[in-house]
Amino acid sequence: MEKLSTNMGSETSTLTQRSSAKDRLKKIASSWQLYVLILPAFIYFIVFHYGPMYGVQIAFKNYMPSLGIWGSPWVGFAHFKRFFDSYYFWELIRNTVGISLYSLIVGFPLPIILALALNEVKDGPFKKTVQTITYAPHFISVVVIVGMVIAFLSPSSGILNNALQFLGFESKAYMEDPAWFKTIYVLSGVWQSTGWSSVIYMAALSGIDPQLHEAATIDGASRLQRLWNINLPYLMPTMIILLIMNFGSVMSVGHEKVLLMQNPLNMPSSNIIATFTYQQGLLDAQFSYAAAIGLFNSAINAVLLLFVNKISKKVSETSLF
Amino acid sequence: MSSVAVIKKSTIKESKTDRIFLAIIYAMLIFALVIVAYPLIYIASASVSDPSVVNSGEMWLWPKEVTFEGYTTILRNKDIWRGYINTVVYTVVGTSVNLFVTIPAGYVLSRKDFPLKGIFTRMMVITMFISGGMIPSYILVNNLGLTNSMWALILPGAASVYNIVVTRTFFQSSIPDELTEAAIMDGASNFKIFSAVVLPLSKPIVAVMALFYGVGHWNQYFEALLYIDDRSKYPLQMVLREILVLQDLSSNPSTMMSEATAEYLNQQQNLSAIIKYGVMIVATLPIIMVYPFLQKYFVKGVMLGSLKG
Amino acid sequence: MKKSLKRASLLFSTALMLGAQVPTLVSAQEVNPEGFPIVDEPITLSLLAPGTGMAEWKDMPTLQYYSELTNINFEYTTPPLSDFSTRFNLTFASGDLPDIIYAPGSDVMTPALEVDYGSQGLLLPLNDLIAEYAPNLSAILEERPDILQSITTTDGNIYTLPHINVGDTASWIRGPIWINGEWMEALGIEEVPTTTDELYEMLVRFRDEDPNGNGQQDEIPLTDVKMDSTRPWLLSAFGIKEWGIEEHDGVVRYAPMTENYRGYLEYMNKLYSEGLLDKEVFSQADEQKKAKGQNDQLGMFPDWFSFFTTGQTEEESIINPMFGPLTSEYSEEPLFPMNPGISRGAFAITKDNPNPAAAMRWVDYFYSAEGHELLNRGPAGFLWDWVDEEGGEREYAQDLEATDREEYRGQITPGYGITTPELSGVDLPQIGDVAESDFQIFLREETEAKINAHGEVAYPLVYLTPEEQAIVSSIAVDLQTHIRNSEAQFITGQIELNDENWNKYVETIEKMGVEEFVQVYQAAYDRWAAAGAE
Repeated sequence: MEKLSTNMGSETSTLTQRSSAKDRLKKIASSWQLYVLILPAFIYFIVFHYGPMYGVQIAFKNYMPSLGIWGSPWVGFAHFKRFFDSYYFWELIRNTVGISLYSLIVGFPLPIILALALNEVKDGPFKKTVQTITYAPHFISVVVIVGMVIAFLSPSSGILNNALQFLGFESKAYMEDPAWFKTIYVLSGVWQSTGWSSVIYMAALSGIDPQLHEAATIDGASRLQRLWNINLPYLMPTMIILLIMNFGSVMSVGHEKVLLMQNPLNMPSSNIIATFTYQQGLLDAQFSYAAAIGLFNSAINAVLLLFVNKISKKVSETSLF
Repeated sequence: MSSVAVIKKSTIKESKTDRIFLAIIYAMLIFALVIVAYPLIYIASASVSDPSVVNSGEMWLWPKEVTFEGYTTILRNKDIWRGYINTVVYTVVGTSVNLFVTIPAGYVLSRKDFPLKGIFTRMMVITMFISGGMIPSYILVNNLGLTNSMWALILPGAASVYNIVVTRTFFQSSIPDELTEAAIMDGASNFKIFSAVVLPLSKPIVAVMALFYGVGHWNQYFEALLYIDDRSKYPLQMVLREILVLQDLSSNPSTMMSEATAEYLNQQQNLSAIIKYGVMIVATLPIIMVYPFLQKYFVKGVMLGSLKG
Repeated sequence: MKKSLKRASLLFSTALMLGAQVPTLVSAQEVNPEGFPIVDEPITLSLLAPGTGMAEWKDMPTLQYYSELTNINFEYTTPPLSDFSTRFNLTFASGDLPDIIYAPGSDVMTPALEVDYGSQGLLLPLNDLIAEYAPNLSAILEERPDILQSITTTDGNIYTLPHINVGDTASWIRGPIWINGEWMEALGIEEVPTTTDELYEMLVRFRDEDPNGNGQQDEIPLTDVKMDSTRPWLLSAFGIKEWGIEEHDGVVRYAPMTENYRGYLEYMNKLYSEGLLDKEVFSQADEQKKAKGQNDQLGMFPDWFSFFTTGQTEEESIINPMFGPLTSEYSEEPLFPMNPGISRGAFAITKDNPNPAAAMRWVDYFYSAEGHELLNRGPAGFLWDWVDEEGGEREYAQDLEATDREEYRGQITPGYGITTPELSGVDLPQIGDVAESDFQIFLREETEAKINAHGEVAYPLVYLTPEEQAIVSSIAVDLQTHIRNSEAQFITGQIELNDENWNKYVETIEKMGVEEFVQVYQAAYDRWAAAGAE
């Protein structure tokens, strides 16, 4: 192959005009096939995403089903203002962002570490077992997980407090302490998703040319050195892209799990945008208000994503766009 | 002679640090295994234990006062089997559609010479933030006549930006430019490149995407709630949700209930703990079993043969 | 919709056949003013209702029987109850309306939505239809003007029909608090407490004197899950009927900012800090409470029936008396909150319904004792059958176990777990030779003595105008969060209940706009009361 590429260079230089025109033509001609390959995705986004996009205006209107989306009256930023004026507005933002960043800091590195670690182990039943078991929690429904968390942390009957008491410590009602809420949320989330998230990295690592590792071993590199100099850089592009996209969902902490874990005592820490919206929705199904809040979230998410993307462009070769 | 000595020395050195390193790795993995496995064992045990010992905290690892009532209640429900079949169909068809849309798109976007690369990526990312919401989507699906059919569950989710981007990244890292240029030089058309060169190399990413999308279809509930009216077409999650609805009712008896209904629901609620766990196992065991099969595509050096060829 | 096209063409051709001039509006078939069938030629309507997953509605004998009787057939759409709200709202949003909405309940078809959709013309006003085609319901409304007041919206129209309950437990706002009868016996306590001091003393004795006899001090005198079930009953000891907006003698106030409420918080804080109120009250789930109950650790606890928590049998649980109203320095007369006995949002007719009159006649039957029996038990030959039809003797199906009856019932009739439009709680003819059980008698007596004797409705079911609703919606969620958090913080002592903190708490409530909030509800109440005076 190397020979070919060097040849390529010399050939184009000798056959200048005729071949570059032919090349360009060939490029456009063969390009059409690329368009065909990407066509299904294109059609999909146009029909199912851009088609309904006119619905965004709901956030700026007072939606009335009988008038439809187009016919409902404009209210401009009224819904946004109402959200900003809400008594708990800052608490909601603080908690939502806090949970996201905490999750990111703890939860982002772990799948990478797991994938790298598993990669060092030779294939066999142990590896398979660890992989299957660590990825299983992803499938457990959030209702069951929270049920278990509450049961495990119960001051009277939970195993954690039983263990603590056995070791001579006092039992504590962790679920009632706002200071512990985010930690419990994040750790249970990490427990649930680390194995699953490591799959991407495992797949990426499988693409490394083993020759690289062979060569490095001969040169005297230890496992750790090889991991640091070959595996990790290989994962960089994937890591960066995933990190950028994670920043694009900082405001989007879902309501289901938090709602199940919320109680009046930990509310100062567990009151997030999504649960607020949900409770509003129970009160009356105001599509417009929920849409406005959603749009607000998306705006912040977009800004964050663009920002991180820009940094990434400057600092590395990888970026989302 | 000296090189032999050098090699010997370095092999001894690497063995020791490497062994320590490996030991640490194994320790970490075993630790992770135990931490993760414990709640899983708990769930499995809870699904066959008497609810009162589960709720009081008495049962904490192995089953106590074993009862299979949870499972019999769940499996007695005839709809479950139909739900299983429906879900398998939706998952297979759906995942195929997903792959058909996502893999080629991810590849095309990874090609440096694709002129619309930037525009298309931007167009996709925009959809991550601006969305019309539930109402126009609902109306659209209705207007397309997809209501009450499998396609209402499959088409609106035919691709996700996240997955396309991940696919693109994969191709960027693992299909060297030289390979592509060489093929072009050999006169291969883009279709040929894709089918003969790229696809054979994309086993890991296809496996990952099949897993991601497949699990998404398997767990799908919300779209089915919106668009499927025929109970015979319900996917598994809908059926299981219905079983859990009864638990909802029972923890919230309303003033209009008769004593008899309230009592019956109370009986049900006593089962609710184990039903919750049992339902989960019924729902997810099949999909968990799939992973080991896909694993072989993540094996080191799977690309080795393809590259050389 | 293809359906409506088909129906329209059927009616069109019928009209032509009858030589009638085709009007711009397709006219509906004539409805028989009384008796069955309701229409002479079968018609088909579409119906949206929450499903409980017990069986397909089209297979339910009750509905099949009734369809044959009335000549009205249905296409049923029954999304699962748990997420019915989403589907319900999308249906309205997309304009694809069914003819009838059945049993959505006021959590889904909220009063606000009734006013909203009704005023937009999506729901038909039912006033005239009731007057002309619903004799059973009309009779009830005449007898109970309070019901009429509560289902009439702010523009004078009725958009939904209610579920009316006149049974023994109709006055319950939620499950009552029960006192562990065995513990009372063990300690020689003969009467249930009637004052807050007496309650305190009883709880202390529960805590200290080992009434469950196991030698360990593991008794929990009072427990609950997040206070939601015990709070209404305990608040009444301080003269408060509702944890929010309530009315006393025509004046509407917001209870959580009153001195009475402060008294409640102080009392509960005392209970909590002295170990009389379960320390886990705010963080435990229902399962933990049940486990404690079955372990005989609970002295006083809320539930629908006491044996739900304790695991006793129905008969055994008669020993547990119902908690009764208390008096205190804040409230000298015993007071208990009471349920008005109706639930709204049980039935609505949408604007595209081709035969509203038929729909009204169809639902009216269930407001009669006969109709209620059909909906409750199904037709003869399934859950029960005739022994002697002439004499009215019935018996349960032979091959059905008593314990399976309720499950079977849920499979044959839709009247199970949802807010059906009917008159329920009327005495049904006896089946078999099972007379009233001791437990039912016990329930009735306790309810009479404790709840009905001193019960008052906290605040009637009203409707707000859209402007009023906007005001309420903007503060309701914040208010709720604040008082909920504060209650927990004051009771557990996380925040000390002194003057400074109390004033801060009240100030926050005022800052949130509670004054306007109360004004809205005062105006709504005045409207409601005035309508009744007419």
